[in-house]
Amino acid sequence: MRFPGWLTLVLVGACSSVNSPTGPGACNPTGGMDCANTINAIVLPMLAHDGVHPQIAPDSELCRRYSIDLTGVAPTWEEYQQNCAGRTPAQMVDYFMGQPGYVQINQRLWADALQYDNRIVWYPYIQDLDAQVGKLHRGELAYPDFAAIAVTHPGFIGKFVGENVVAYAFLAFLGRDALPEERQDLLGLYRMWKARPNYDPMLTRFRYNACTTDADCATGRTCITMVCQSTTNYRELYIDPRPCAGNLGEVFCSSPMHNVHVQLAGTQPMSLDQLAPSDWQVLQTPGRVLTTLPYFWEAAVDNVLHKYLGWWHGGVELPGYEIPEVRQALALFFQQKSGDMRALEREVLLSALYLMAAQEPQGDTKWWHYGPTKQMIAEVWLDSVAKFAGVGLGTCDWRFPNLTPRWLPPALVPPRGPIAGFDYQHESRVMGGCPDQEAGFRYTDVGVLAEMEQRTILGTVCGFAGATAFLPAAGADKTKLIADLFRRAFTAAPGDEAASLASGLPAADAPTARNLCQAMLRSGRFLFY
Amino acid sequence: MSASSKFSRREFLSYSGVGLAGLAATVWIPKKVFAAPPAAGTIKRLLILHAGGGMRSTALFNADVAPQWNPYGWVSTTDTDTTGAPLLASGVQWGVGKPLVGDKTPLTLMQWNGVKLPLVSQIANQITVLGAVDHDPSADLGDGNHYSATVRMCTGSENGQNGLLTMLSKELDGQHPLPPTIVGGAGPIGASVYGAGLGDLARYRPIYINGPTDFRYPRASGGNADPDYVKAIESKLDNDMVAARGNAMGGRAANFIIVKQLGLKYGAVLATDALRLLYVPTAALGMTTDGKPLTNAMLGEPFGVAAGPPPPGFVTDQDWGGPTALGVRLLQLGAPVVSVGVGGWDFHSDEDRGLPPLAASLGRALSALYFVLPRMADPGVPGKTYWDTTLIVVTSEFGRDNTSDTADGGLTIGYNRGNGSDHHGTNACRYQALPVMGGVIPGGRMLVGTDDQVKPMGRPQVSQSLLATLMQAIGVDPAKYFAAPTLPEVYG
Repeated sequence: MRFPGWLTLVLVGACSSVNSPTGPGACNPTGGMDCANTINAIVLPMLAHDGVHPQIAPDSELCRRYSIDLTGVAPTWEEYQQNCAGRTPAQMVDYFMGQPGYVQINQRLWADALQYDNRIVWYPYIQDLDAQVGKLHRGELAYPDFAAIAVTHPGFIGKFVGENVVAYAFLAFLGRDALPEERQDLLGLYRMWKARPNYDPMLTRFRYNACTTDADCATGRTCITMVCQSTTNYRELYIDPRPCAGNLGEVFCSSPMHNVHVQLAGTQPMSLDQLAPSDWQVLQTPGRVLTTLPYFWEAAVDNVLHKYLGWWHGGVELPGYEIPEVRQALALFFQQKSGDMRALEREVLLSALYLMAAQEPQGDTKWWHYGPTKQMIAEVWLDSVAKFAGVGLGTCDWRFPNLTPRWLPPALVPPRGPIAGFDYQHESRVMGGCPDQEAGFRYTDVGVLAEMEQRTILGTVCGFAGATAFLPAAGADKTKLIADLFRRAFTAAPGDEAASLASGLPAADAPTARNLCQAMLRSGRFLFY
Repeated sequence: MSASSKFSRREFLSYSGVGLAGLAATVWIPKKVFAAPPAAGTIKRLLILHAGGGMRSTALFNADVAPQWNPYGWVSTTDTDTTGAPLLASGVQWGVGKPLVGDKTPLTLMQWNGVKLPLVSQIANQITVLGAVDHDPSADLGDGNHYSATVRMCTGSENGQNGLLTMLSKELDGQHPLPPTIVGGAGPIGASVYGAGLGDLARYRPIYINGPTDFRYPRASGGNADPDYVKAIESKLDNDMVAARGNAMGGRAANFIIVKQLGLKYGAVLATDALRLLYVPTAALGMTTDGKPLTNAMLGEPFGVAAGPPPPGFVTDQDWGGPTALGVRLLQLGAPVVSVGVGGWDFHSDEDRGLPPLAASLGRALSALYFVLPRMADPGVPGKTYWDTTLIVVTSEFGRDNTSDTADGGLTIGYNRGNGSDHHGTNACRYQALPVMGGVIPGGRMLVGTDDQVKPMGRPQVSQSLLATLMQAIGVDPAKYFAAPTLPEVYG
């Protein structure tokens, strides 16, 4: 492969440039928030201008927010006391980002962007791509390197043949579809990727008709235990350098827009495990070109701000809402940090936009005047319900939407929980979770059917005989029952209303607690955080 | 942003308990007759089949074009099915693409006394095609972007915020046992965009169902039989949340309370086993014209949907059949409009292998609708069937072209170099051929055909006009939402 000199400089210089934002005015620390934070430096003067005096939310509110956002499950009251009470936001962030759940919840979220589908893509490819996401969020991989690897990874390419590989690369890393001209242009850099049928003994085969010898079977099948069975069961990706060889290859495997083409030495197809690191550098060219395009850094910032603020860049669901200066400043910050994803996330998580209490002042419709409110995704809701009830509900593996042995070895199928017939993956999918990547998207808004599903699930879980963790101790009074369940469900003690709520209870016994379990977990106060 | 609910507490409670039990598993009987010229008051229901990803309509519904735009060919008058019967109905003006007819084998329906399910080409004289549907006739080029084109198709304008079903949900609010409902096609390039809704219309967003598997297990049957103290605490927690955070997520938090009330209201309707097409074969809803209860097994068979292991000879369908059959059930239960979405049409490569089965599935769904609906008595209109009172249309965001990157310049092969097709906004992408059918639609016609280069031979139909036509058909004045005129020619 021959890179033009200028491209080499661009790649080494790491990616598209970001302009410095215009300063909004003098920043004065207030409400425990300092101006060293990139976002605060812009937002605090804006809030001051609007007469808003930001205050950091109570640590119980922050604890729930951090726990759900950073580990994918609501905290218990005991966890709050142990890990959050009396801690600074920075201490809480350090704690939660240090948990395994931080990497896992981000792997789950990237599964949507990278469209894992083990019915089309061989499961080890997906495992490896998912591991790259893990490296990104453990701080072991810089964001541009991750992008370059991800969009040229067999776990990604295997799903998107043709122009779609470019289109979905753009969607994942630039926040927009590629223009037709861009798809055509970058497609040339993927031309060495090919697929061929192969056989994996960990997967089952398709079974056909009865037979006594191989001759009884059609081409591509063999007679095994008296049944014709397929000889292949997955698509192996490999590299064929021939289409890109020679002068014609320089045209065929090029990106005229970016003045680059790809070539590998060799005249025979190569398995992926035969490739040298330098070969991978060549194959990752379209990914590295992607990182040089305008809005690469800004799109990453948009993703993080949307994830943690909810209202940011709401897309189809909401009218676009954003503070351009914040995006620009964070993009610069992210670039200066060499694409350290943890540093970017930490900057957002310790900013006024994240730290403020979520209570909306009456009539104030500016979302950046108060802290974020978001809706639990389906898996977070289910896992938080399970934690409240003290009973496992099972799980789903974001990497593998399809659990049949044709596409996934049985050893990798997630175990079920103890409630007979409870199908975690199904329940989650009705509510828009556990992506299947076959329908493309699932409906994640609060819908009638999802609400009905929640009602059904809670009837099952709260009434499950093995769900005893939230039941009152003998001799408990009604006020204590209310208080205990409030703390368990919402990481907060009830206010003055506890006594009046308690007065309506028939008793402080197990049946009442099971009813309250349903009422509290069905409520918007549990679902939104 | 208003956080208030349209339901009073009394209304809210009235939806609970035994009152709802009577709603369960009953066929909705329409009481109102709307003025919907020219088919005044005869259309009670709309069924929109949305092919997300960009359906190559020149390969299916405007098939007699140059090979570059349809490499699959079209059904001719001399073709026969596998039994030797003519493959094409007489009097058909539009080109029936070969992918629609699959392996050309009419299926024998055991649940229907061995009657044959005709192939879609054999009922093509019941289908009329709008031959040149364009989003924006004033533009130099068609919209080749999935996202904006889907928004155009589903909302009627490039920057539309409210989908057709949301608009209809608002206009028909309270008149039906179920609101408009969407089955499948989630995401920004699917049928769910018909249910987009912002601002004041957010609370009218349709019910969304992923598909038949959503009904794998029985679920709570609606109503609220909880003790009063449970209701009071839940209500307080919800109201506190809305008071504190009602503006969040564009009002989604506030909308949650409304959705919960709707869940209680519609729960009994949606809890019926008649929706469990994949799981309860004996569940029945409605009657056939010869007086038999229409079981899930009967309804499912033409669509290729079996509850449990399919019996010998049963040909299953994995794409359109399940969601479309579910759509029929939802119409029976009282949803005035159902949109069924099936994606996966974006074949930039391997279209030669991928499109034929998907197209055959769509063809079978259309045949099944024509088979089933005339055999289903409409309980609200004596002597009429669901076929007489339902209007069906197929939509997509755009068609497909292949103007570059082809091995031979695209002139004869009809595919790009990946054996697929693209969407660059040229004629075959821009001008969609979209079928409409139903008892009120004289079939077999091609309204504004194209030449073999997919150039319209008349004024193209505007997609907004199609939405206006659908809105008018169901009895809602389209002028409130759409500037484009309706398409009265649809009715002959």
